[in-house]
Amino acid sequence: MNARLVILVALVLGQVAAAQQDLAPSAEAGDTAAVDRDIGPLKDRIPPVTGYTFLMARRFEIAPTFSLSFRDAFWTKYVVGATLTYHFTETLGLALRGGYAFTSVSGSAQVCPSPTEACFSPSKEQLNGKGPGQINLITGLDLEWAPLYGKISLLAEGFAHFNLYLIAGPAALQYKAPKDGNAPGSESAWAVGGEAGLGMRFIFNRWMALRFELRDVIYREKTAGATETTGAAYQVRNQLFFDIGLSFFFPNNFNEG
Amino acid sequence: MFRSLRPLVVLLALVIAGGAGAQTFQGLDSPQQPKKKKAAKKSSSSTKSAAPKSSAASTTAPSVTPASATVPAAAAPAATPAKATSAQDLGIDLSAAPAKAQQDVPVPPPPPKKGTAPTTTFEALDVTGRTADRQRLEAANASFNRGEYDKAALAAWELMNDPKMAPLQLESQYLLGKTLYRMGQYHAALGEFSQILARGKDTKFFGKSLEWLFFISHKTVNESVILDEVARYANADWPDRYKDEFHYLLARYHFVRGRALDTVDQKVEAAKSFEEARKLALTIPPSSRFYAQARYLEGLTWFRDGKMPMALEAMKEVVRVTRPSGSRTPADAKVADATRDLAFMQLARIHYGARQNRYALYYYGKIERGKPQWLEALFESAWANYRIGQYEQALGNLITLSSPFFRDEYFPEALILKAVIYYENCRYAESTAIIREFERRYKPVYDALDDLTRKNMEAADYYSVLADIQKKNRAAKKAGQSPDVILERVLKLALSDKDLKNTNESIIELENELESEKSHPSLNSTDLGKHLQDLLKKQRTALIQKAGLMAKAKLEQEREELRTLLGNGERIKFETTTKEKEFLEEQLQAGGRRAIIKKYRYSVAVNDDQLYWPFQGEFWRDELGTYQYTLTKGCIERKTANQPSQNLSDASAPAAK
Repeated sequence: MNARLVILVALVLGQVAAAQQDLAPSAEAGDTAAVDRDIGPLKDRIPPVTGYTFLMARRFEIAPTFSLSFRDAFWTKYVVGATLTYHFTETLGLALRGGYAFTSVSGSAQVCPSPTEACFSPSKEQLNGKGPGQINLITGLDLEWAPLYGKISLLAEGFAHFNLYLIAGPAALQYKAPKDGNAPGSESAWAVGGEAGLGMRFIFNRWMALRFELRDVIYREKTAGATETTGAAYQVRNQLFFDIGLSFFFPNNFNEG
Repeated sequence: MFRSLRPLVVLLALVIAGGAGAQTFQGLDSPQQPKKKKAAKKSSSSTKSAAPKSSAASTTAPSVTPASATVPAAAAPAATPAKATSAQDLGIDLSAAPAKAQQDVPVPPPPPKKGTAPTTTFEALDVTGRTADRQRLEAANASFNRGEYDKAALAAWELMNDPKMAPLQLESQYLLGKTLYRMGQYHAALGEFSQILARGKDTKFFGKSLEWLFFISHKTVNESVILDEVARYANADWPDRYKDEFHYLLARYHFVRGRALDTVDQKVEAAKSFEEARKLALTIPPSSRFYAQARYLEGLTWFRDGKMPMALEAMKEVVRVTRPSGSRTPADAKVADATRDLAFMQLARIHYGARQNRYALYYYGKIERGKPQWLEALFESAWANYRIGQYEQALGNLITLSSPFFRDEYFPEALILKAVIYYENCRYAESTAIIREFERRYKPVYDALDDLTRKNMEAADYYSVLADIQKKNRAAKKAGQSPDVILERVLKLALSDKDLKNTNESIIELENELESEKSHPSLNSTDLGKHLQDLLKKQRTALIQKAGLMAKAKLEQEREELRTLLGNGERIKFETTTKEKEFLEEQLQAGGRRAIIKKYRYSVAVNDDQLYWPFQGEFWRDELGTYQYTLTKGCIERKTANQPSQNLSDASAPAAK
């Protein structure tokens, strides 16, 4: 019995000793692995581009533009306008745009007087006040976000720098609305809406760029067929534009900083 | 059968238990207490309360650690006392370490006349049989184990300074060291462990403190801070598991020392150091994690001695053993990768030195984009390309070096190489313009260096100058201003010395630690806080002294190199002017019809696996290192118009490093 007790005590002591042996400095020090002294990959150490040939931050951009509407069943608009943008940073800017639209009857516009008569392409006068989308003036205030700057190779012969941007903001339009009571002719009306779009600048040098833009202007337009009893009827329309413009940047040089 | 074995089993068990007891008690020994009494006390506490692991941890004696192997005397070169003057000159502590270190050790308060706890009342209540002193220490240990490091540190400090606790002073200091480590105060912890080590290898916790040195070296910005300590205790019984690391660090210590001695022209002493480094490196077996690094060091020592075949073999061995393999841990893989790159660089330099330029280019090409050695590889391969007439590739490499990403790097020879290449291609006007640019950039740097080195300041002041530049430039950058370009270049130049860079990083780390002391409010305005501040300041002073010596040597060396480069620039200008004069004379004789330059035909066609992008002054990260310059015009008859002048070509070629 006595001997058993001694064995038991001895074994317990042995285990305690073993536990204490485990508590060497390496156990007390916690994580003793060497810290990572790697300088890290190149992408973590240096920016993607330096020595920029083109920068926009804290610069004004003035761009005379020409816009063309498309996918419009009644009116084709040719808009002559301009955009003034201030670029707060390389990626963010605020643009004020305005343009005067020349309208012509769209090739797809057809008037079919009755089921028995052949359809025909209406004249401008015939469509005036009847076809929606007869825009005269278009203005907008857009927030611009340009997240992408790059360069492209055109068949390994031509090389161009570009940036890609998105715009969104409120828009106001003046258009020719149908007169009340189905009266012939049209009258000017204003509509407020919004626009969103995607654009791209191809950069020629430090102060000039060619810009292309696709915009969708969404607004509420008074429609034909409104009567005094029913009141004015409105519908939401969206108008797609393709813009092309030549941008000039001021000041005409920049510091990378 | 069992019965007959029982006494044997009992005996064996008792032996184990006895051993355990001894281990446990060694850490608790009080010189005043008779051992028998203590042993009895401790064993009772162990069994009774099944002492928490944590409290037992701090009382584990050093003999528990696997520190049995003895470093052979031959592998203990640091014990060889160097002359005090040369040691001072080098900023490396080569003096008989323990004696010196002991001066710094705070004298423990006089021990109480009796080893037992002074308060009998408390002892009477101690059912575990521990003394009140011991209980206080165990409470501190318990705080440590609970992760209450501030509390543990304060308690340990209190115990250390309580005259009544003299027997536990060492143990308390050990606890303080551990606690500081866990608090991330690695330099402060190093200070405490250094003091324990300085008491001599017979001291308790000596072996364990050595182990902590390794842990600290793993956490600090580089291992250089512990190299002196490692060298100081070269003859100690280093724990087996760290023996290879110890040999490697000691080899590094001797290597760094050798380099420093070389700098001050003490070639014989330097040779001894390199020999020692080599011997130590060779003690590391191939199975060790440190084998590749050790062989690399060995290769460097052969290289320094001019024994290139041996150096080549060592470097090739490094490349062989660091071949990427999935069996390594990520950390080991990183170390292996970095060592492999260093070996490739050295292989390239050896071949470059032997004028085997294509081999050199092969090895330079092994350094991947973005690796730490990459820029140096690009620059040095530009020289190799130049030597074999691949001017366009050489100039292409220099474009990468001139990019804003690397503008801060210091490659003054890049402009000289560029000028030489333009000269070789009869583009004299450009060559002269490049030399002017070189002079515009680097003459003021040379003047600043000359001013600085002529002042004959104290060593530490040289480092202070560099530290001031760093601070000013940091402040300027913070304020959005451009730093002083010339001073920035002086700084970059000084920090191109890797040993100085390491020491500088350690100083900055130490200063950050000094600052971070403030982030432990419980330690602020305590004696411990003050003690730690003093300790760190002392360490900083020592490091600054060391860095100052290195800085002085480096700045003087760079001043001379810059002087040589400026001289080479003058020579290139002279050669260029001579060639221009010859050409004008020939033109006069030919009635103005003689031309020297013609347009070259060139194509932008590239291989199928490549893309051509013209360089328009914009640097794209993914293009760096791939540039090829197109020489659109050059000598009409390259062979006759401008024979490469051997003298000129070699004048500025980089010496293999």
